[in-house]
Amino acid sequence: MELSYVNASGRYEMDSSQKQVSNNGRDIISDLPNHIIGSILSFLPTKVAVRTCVLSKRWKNLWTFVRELSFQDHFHRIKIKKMQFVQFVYRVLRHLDSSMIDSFSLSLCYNYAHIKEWISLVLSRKVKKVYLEAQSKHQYQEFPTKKKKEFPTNSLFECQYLQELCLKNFRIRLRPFITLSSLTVLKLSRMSVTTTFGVPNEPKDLTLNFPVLRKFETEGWPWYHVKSVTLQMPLLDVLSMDDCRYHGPHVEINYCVSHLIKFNYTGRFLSATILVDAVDIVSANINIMLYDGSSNSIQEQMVFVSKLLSINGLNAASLKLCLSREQLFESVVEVFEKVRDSLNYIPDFQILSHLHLELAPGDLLLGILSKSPCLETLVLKVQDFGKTLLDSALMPGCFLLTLKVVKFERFAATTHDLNFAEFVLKNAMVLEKITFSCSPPKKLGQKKWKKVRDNILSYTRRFSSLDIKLEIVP
Amino acid sequence: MAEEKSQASSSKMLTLKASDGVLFEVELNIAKEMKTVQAYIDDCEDIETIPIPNVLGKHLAIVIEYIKKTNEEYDAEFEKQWNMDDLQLLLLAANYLNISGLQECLCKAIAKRIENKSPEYVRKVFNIENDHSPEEEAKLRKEYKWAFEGVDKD
Repeated sequence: MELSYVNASGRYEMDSSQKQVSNNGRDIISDLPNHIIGSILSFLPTKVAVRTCVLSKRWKNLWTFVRELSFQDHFHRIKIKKMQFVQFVYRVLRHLDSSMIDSFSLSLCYNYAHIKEWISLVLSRKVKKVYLEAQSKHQYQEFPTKKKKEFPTNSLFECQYLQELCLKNFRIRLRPFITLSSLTVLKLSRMSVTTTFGVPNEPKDLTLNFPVLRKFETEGWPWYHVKSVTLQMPLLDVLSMDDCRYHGPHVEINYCVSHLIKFNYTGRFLSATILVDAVDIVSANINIMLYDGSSNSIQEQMVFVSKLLSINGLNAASLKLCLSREQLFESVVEVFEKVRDSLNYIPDFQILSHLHLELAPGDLLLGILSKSPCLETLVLKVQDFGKTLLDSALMPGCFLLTLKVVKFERFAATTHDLNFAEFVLKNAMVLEKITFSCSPPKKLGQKKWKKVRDNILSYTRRFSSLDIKLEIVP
Repeated sequence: MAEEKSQASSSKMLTLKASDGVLFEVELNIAKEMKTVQAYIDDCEDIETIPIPNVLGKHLAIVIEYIKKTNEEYDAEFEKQWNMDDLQLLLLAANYLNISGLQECLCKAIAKRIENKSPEYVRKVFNIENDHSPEEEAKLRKEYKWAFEGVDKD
């Protein structure tokens, strides 16, 4: 702890014997060129950067050399003084020396009529990256569109030198045709996009033209009140749709993305048609959360999965499918029948080579395996695989020719686990690797594992070489 | 130090001489990352030893290592090894030698270390002498009042 005293002019000073002798007491940093100091300060929230004005006379205006601005009106849950914040933002925007601002970031709890003008001021400085976020208590879940703040201006969607745009938690109305010719990154997070200009009940078609966009990410389902959306993104590398869920009137979303390399879909069934016009997707991750809704919904959901799997440009090497479920099915038997029946209505998953099943009641498991003739890797948590199933089930086609790797997650050496393991080991003709992954406290004791291992090994004699692994995951 | 290695023309070596006389042999493509050195080479093609008068040997060594190893992972760990004094001197070096990646990495590191600190702390750490009069300082604090709300007490 440092001693300090008040000196003659009423300022706190360090006891000189404790003064840190650093760099021989030289003030190196103040001699750096303005733009370098501006660079350092650019990494700080603007509020902190501006504080440096009191360091010394030299530092009075060094903060004006920042090129990245970030403002947030909330911290430590202290009630903020809105007027002070507003004044601060205006002062900063007006005093900035840099004629060009690289990025502008605003994270707000409250609504301000001034947002429109702030945006206008930064656009006039040729800002390249804009990040705007409305904070809400409902940070991690969907909240109703009505509660989202209305985005006050469309000027961002008219700015032709804007390169990156990230918006979160707003409602916004867009004109039917939007072109942003320099935009390379767009992220819409918990947004609600509408097209209705004037007549509130008639949603329109929306066309978004982003000729040089490389990355498009959505979190939540952004298309709130549109008839259809066409996205022209011929140079897009990455398309990521996160936490999708939508049950409104049917919507068609058309991605024209001939250059697409990476595709990610995470979420549920949508009452929407997703068309992806890609050519050769290198990596695709599709994660669907199934849920037990009304009587037809399981079938609808499986049809939706099937349609996603037939997107143009997907191929066996690129695709990983993960099916999980939202809540425990109440009546297990009932639902199995629904699922098994629903699988009759969809074509085979011709290109599926990597499948992850978070739910795996026996019938569904077998049903999906039978529909995946090219499956090479199966990762699953076995829920249910009774003796009758073990005795009566037909070997799925992929077991004969393609299934090479099986991994049991959250393996607990239950009867079901072991039954399915037996089923695999007896029937998978080209199996190369089998892994049992468990996590404490379900960790198997030495004795139990030995018993399991002996049990399993008895089925493996026919293999000339099989990689068997037990994994303990923390 | 004279070298007796036979060099392929693609891996031509260059000698850099730090302010304290320490010599470093580096490959041409490493040296070219230092735009100041590049300019030197452009001006006098046949030069073999380039003087770097503003940078101590210990810092030049760190800079050269950075250029060789820089990648996302390395950069993330890089700054943790150095104290504030070294960071500043390294920034001076990076600025003189004109290495933009290293400059940015160091600016970010320095910023991180002063992020939640009071002006008093920052002055101490950088040895900045406060030549504002109390009235001037009070005026600035008032003008940018919001910036001084809720400052951490160290």
